[in-house]
Amino acid sequence: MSRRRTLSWWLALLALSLLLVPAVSAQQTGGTLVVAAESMGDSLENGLWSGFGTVNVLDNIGEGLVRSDFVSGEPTPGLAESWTISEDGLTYVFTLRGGLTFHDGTPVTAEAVVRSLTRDSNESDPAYIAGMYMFPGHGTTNWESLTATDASTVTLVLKTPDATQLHRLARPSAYILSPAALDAQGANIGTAPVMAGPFRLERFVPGQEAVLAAFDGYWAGRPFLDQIIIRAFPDEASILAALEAGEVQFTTNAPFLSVPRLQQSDNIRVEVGPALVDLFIGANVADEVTGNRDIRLAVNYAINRDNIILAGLNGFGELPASILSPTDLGFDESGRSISTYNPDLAREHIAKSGLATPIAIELAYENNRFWPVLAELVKADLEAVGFTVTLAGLDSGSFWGKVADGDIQLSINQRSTFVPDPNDKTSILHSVNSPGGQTRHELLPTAAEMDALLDAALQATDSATRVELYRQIQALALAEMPYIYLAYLTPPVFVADSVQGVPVGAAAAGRATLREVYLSN
Amino acid sequence: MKYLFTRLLWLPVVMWAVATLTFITLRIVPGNYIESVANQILDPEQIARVQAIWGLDRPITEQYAAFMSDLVRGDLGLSMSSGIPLSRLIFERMPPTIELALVAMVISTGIGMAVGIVSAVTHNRLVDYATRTFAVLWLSLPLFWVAMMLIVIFAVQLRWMPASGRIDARLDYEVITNFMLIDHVLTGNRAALSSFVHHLILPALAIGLTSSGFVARLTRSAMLEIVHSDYVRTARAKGLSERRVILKHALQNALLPIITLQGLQFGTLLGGAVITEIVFTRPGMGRMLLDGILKRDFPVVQGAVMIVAFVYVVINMLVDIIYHVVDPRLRHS
Amino acid sequence: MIPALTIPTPPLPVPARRSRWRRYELSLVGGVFFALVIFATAFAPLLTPYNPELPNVTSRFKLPSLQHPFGTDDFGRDVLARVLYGGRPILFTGFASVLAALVVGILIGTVGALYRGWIDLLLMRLMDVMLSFPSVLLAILIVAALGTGLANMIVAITFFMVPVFARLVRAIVLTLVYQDYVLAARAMGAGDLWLIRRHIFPNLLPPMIVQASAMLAVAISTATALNFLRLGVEPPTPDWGLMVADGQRLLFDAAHVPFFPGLAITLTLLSVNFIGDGLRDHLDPKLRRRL
Repeated sequence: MSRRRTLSWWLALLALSLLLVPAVSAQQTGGTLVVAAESMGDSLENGLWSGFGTVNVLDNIGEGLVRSDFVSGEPTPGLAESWTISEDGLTYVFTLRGGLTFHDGTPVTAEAVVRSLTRDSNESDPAYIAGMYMFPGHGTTNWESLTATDASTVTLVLKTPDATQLHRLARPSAYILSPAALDAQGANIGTAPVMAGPFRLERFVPGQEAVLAAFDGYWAGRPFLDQIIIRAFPDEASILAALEAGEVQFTTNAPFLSVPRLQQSDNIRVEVGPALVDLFIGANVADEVTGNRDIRLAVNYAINRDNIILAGLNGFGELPASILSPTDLGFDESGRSISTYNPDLAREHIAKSGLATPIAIELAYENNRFWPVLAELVKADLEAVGFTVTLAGLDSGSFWGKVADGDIQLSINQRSTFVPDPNDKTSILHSVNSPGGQTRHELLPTAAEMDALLDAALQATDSATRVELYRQIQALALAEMPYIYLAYLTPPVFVADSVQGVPVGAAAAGRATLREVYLSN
Repeated sequence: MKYLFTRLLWLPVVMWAVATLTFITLRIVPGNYIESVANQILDPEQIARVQAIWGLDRPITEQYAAFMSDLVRGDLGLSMSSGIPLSRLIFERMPPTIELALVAMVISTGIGMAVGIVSAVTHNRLVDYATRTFAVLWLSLPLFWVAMMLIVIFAVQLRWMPASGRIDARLDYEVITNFMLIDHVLTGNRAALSSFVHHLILPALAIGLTSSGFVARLTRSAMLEIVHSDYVRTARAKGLSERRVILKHALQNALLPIITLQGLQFGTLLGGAVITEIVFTRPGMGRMLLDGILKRDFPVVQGAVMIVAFVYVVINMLVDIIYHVVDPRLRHS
Repeated sequence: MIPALTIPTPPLPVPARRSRWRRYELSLVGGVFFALVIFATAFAPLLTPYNPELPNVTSRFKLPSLQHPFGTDDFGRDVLARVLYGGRPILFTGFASVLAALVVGILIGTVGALYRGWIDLLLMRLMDVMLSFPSVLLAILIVAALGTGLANMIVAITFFMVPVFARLVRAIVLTLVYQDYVLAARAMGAGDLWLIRRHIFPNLLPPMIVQASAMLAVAISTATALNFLRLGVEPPTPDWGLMVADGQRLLFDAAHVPFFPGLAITLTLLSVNFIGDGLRDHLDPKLRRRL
């Protein structure tokens, strides 16, 4: 190699590094990000479900053995750097990262992991609160045993194979807590949880806001931001006001209809998330009217979804094909042809149903965000083909209470991809083991067949088999149609112009970890 | 002294009645957070176990007895949706509401009395009409509407004041009593104090302005009554300056009905704080109450209602006592 | 400090020289406006061709124009039509709850004053307890128990107004009962009904009218507040409080949507307050002397 050539190599390298330098240094460290959430629980106890605002906090202060990648749908290493799964899919061996500490400086050990993951059924744990743990968080009912084999190895043995077990370990309820904090705080752990995520909890005002600070000892390196403030707002209107006043830099909960104007503004940017959330109408099959399959099909064909997306969601939606998202394993595109607007076909099905028009029907929905708009649009569509619709706009509490009681004919609802696996949404909505009052799907003639498919798909260890099974599940769901799909939501993420590195996919799922977010000048 | 004693004795009786009324009201209709969640995801056996833990399976009389005996020991129970003790939630939520209501009271009294006095001394002249119309206008404006307008003008357009929160959360501060005015003065934290005051101005102004109308009207009529009384006429006849007559004699006597009104007004101010907290996204009893209602978390609703009623009753008692101390007629009888 | 103080106060007593009309002109304006509001809400279907509930996605966010004088909202509904219909739940709640509270209050107050003893004690202590709750809070508590909806809202507002009427009635009845001629008549065997018909009712009427008109303003403003907090009527029923609450998020994009219902509330309350002032000036003899 000639000297000149060597020199040019060096020069090229220098040029390259000069190019790289600004790119790297642009990710500035420091600054505070204020996030507007739709709610905040009074407690950060991760064994309880207390809304998306609380989950936002937990996703940033906490971490489980595994993390979920919401874009690829893959589990990725969290506190465990690696794991092995036995041939039969029953035994998982996790190896913890070396030298990990909680925010209080105590080490993350295998014992700590076991205690955290089983404390919701351990009544002798000082942090156990009787009568509170009702949500089947990370799958403990299917666990044969969970043991600390040595200081950095945890062995989990399942009763039956569960293809979603890894993702379940990425749920907030599976985040690992410092045993020292559990002992010190006892039943008050929800006001001062100590975990091992990228941020630590600096201050918590129950029901109002949480102040998080960067954790220097995080295994993947200190996050760029110094501080995150997650504040709950009572409604979209106040979030919008705070966004306009420059008090909030990140939210998914501002009114959609303000997007066009905000996009024009100098200091706010709107990014659009992927289609991870499904909006649908649940039809109660135990009811005389909605129990009639032709009526359910009539409702399906009566709905003008283009109009719903345009007027109801201000364009932030896509035509639905299935309960699964396009990014989900086994997603079947063919369902899209069924979700079409065809009022004539709707009238045919009404005629076939044998019920006399006008058919009185009640439609329930939550009284916030875009739900009332969707309800009004659906009402107008249904009345055009021969229904008379009574609208019941309920606050969240009453809505879910009524849904649980199973005395609603039609109810508008959503499912987000809380766990990026096709089992998540399908089994919640169709399994006889999750008796939702909303549709009483367990009463469908095909319920047993559906359940067998769901079990098979959950327990299958090879992905080709799962793809095939989920195709059958989607087809069966469309044939009986206890759920009438309205749209996929592609939620706008509102950020201040200085906010970079926004995890749009995870934010769309309501599970954003803001470790890689940074502020540019 | 004897009067004070009977007043103090009366307090626990009223509080018992308030607690009982709240208890009964919230149990008229069945259903609560625990039950609605349990019904959604648990099987009947598990539901029964959860109900037993929360004592929901017991007869209503037993539940009442348990509730009362806890209450006597100062235990308001746990929130059903979060498992957090009510005492902790009240520590977080009551001080902001009281602060807001008290500052609103100062504003409404200040503006109201000034307007009322001007109105009274310019009796039946143009200024009087203008100020009276002003008073009626303010008490006709819906509070939530005024709050929204203040946000649009001063927070979004001018950016003079913040639109949300109680204090800039980026600041470092210590929580002792959670009454920030006291805490920040005690710790000498000037930055936190100024941020706190900054956040308090708009919401307090919204409540203060809308309730100043009542004070103005009352001040005016009280002043008129006294200005035209023999007592003031005598003072005037003695050749005292008009300013002295008004400020020293008339105003001092008009203070009594104004103090009484402020006690009663405090209930309105607390109610106003509930609404204002929602619009300004402030922590407080209002949010706590509404969240509790939405989730059907009845221990929270119960705790919130009782604590606000308690504060209201105590304030009214204080006003009553002040009244007795200030009013010479009552003092002598 | 107070510049007005330099102007000497007019010597008194000076009987008001103004004409009757002048004295009540604000109340008259208020009365006429309130009558118009009642008329407009009652005959809303005749005054607007638009349906206040039906969405029309092709005409969303129209600014005020000849076709839509108050513009349209995010559902494409005519805001004027919604403002016209939207006064119905508010005014209905106002009148119904004041009337109900008046009836119950008169009953409780009269019974208490006439029969005294333990029943009076019990009733009045109950009233005291009800007055121990700040009024909006008591209404919220009742809505929490009964659930949202127009009927429950009326119950809630009635509930907190009852003690106000009951106490006033009791105080008035007590002064009447102990007047010498009444005592004499009763000694001669005159019954309660005679007393109520001949003495209590006529004497109760003027102060009750004054109080009811004042409480109407309170009831209306509480009703709008409950609706704003979404504890009252349910959408899509048009209602002023609810329209402001829903329109709040349009504040920066279509401010006319929350503006007009807010204006409607303000003007209605203003007119009710002016009427109340006029009635008080006219019916309260103590005040009349002073004006």
